[in-house]
Formats: sequence, structure tokens, C-alpha cells
Amino acid sequence: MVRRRRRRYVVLKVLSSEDIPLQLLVNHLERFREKLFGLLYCRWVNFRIVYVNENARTLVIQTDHRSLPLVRLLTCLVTEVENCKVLLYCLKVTGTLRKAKAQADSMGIQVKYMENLFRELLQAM
Amino acid sequence: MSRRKFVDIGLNLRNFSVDILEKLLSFLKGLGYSGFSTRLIVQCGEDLGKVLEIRDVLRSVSERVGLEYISRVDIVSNRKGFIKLCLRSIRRSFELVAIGTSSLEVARFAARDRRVDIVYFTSGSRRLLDDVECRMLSEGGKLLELSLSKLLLDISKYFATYRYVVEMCSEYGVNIVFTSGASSVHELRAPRELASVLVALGLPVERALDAVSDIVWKVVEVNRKKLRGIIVAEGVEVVGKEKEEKVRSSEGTE
Repeated sequence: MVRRRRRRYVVLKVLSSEDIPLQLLVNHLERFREKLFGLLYCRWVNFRIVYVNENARTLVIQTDHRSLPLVRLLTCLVTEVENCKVLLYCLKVTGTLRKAKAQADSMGIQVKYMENLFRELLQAM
Repeated sequence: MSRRKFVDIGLNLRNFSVDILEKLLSFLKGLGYSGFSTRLIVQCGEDLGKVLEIRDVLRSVSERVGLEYISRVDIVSNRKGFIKLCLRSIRRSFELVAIGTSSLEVARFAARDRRVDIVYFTSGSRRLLDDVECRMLSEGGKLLELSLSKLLLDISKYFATYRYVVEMCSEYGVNIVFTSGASSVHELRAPRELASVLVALGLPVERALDAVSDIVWKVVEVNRKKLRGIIVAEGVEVVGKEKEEKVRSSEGTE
């Protein structure tokens, strides 16, 4: 049987100019989702934040393969949260929550390097 | 299946030191890009030598970082005469030539002229992209550039305009290229995120991914061949010259 909706877990790295609590970002994403897709269309976009790692500054969003481009669009259009410059950068898209959590918890060298670069560049510009 | 080579050809990098530029390009590479290009804008009375100097600096920095640099020049004007003058002098120095305008006359000229590769509209008006313009762009194989930075300025206004543009381009088969238009690091986006905007605007996923990868490389490849003298006229290619060049360069390194 062909499954109509396949689950996808998007692992996002939060790069920000200051260390804002991720709960603020989560609330902002929820509000922005309603604004972007509208109250009516909003329910068709499968979007749920299922995991937040404050130490690694990562989020895991649950969605499905159809809504994935729209979730990417949502994260792409977020630039500021509470006057703090933010860049949401997709680390991985997986099919299981276990793999997504593992990716969200691991702090790779490349990711740390990107985080440092982002802050350095924001200060310099 | 080969991996896609993503490219962002609309960066707005101005007045940055070499050190910052190097870090910015490293960040861009980390986001998953293989190539980049910046808008070097030529305006009335500006010294062309300065633009060429910036191009050389960008090329050397990109080599150090390991990103492929595509030289691009932008002529932003509503005067046809000035654009013609610029095109005559700079076409052979750059791999991509873009025209930015808000005038219908110049838009028509840019769609017709063979020396132009990319066209974009500086105003958000829809009247510039009518049926005639679309047909001309499609027949001339020109790219129409859309950028995320404008969308971020006013989402509601530009989303409607871009939706119209994507609809028209899909109908007439005009190639769209999507860029970040970033002037700061927090405006940069990963290539798949850029493509998702086009998907939301109504383009199929594969075509949206092409808009940030293959479409640009195809044009750049042809233009590089033209600049190296491999393509001498439209439809005429010197066979074997590319191999000869490779052999010569390998002999030179030995």
C-alpha cells in the first residue's frame, strides 16, 4: 500500500546574533506560520515542533513530504526575532525522529565553525 | 546521478575587506554552494577599471576559499544609449551580463540583444513583463532574475508580483534564476531553502532546484567557451580546441 503522507523531520540549526531562548523562536514560528499561510490554509501545512535542544541550539520540526517545501519557506523567511538577527539553517531532513534527535544532539565541527563565523561576520559588518 | 552544483549569483558584496570577504565565502560554502557571483554595478560616469579590479580581488579570494567565481556585471539604467555603450566595452571582460531596468523600452532591448544574459526589473511593477516581453525572453534564451532580498522587504507585495512572474514564465518557457540578493550574512540562505520559495510560488520542485543550479551553469559554460574562442559564432564551435588547451596547461604544469 502506498502511504499518501510520508513523515519528515527537519533538523534546524539556529544561528543568532544573541543567545535568545529558543521558546521565543518557537512562538515566533507559530505566529509567523499563521500569518504566512493564513488561518484557513494553515491547517493543511503539517508543522509541529517536536524537539528543542537549547544547548546545541537546534530544533526538530515534524512535517510530511508534501508540506516540506512550505516548512522550508517558513524557515527561510524568518530573519528577526525580538530585534535579534536570526538565520535558520537546515542541517538534515530525515524520516525518523530517532535519527533527527541524534543529529540535533550532535554538535559537529562544521556546525560549530558556521556558528562562530556567523557571529564574527555579524559583528564585523 | 551527479550532485547538483548550487550557485548564488546575486550577492551584494560592497566595501568589504578581504578578510571579511574570505569568511563570508567560507560561510557560503558551508551552506552548500559551489559557486557564487556578485553584482558589480556599472553606473553613469563610473570608472570601469575599478570594477575590473574588484573582479580580480573576488577571483583570488574565491580560489583561496575553494568556491567557483562567476564574473558578473550589472548595468542598471533606463537609458538605452548608455547600456549600448557599456555593453560594447565590457561584454568581453565578464562571464555574465545583467540588465536591471524599470523602463519598458530598455526591457525590450535587453530581451532582444544577444550580449545580455540576465534581465531583472528594479521596480515591482507587473506591466514590464507582458506577453511580448516573455516571448522575446524565451526566444532569446535569457534568464529572468528574482531575488529573495526584495521578498523579505515586503512579503505581501512581492509574493503576489513574483507569483504572476512565475506564472507568465512557466507559460512561455522563460528560464528563471533565483538569488538571495544578500548584502549581509543573515540574509544568506541555503540553496534548497531558496528553491522552496519558487515551489511555493508554483514552480515544480525540479525546475525550482534548476533555478539555483543548472540553468546558470549552462549559460556560464557557453559564455566561457565564447570568451576562450571555442565558440566563434552562433552555432559554430572549434572542435578539439578545448582538448588542446588542457594538454597545453598540463604540459605547462609539468
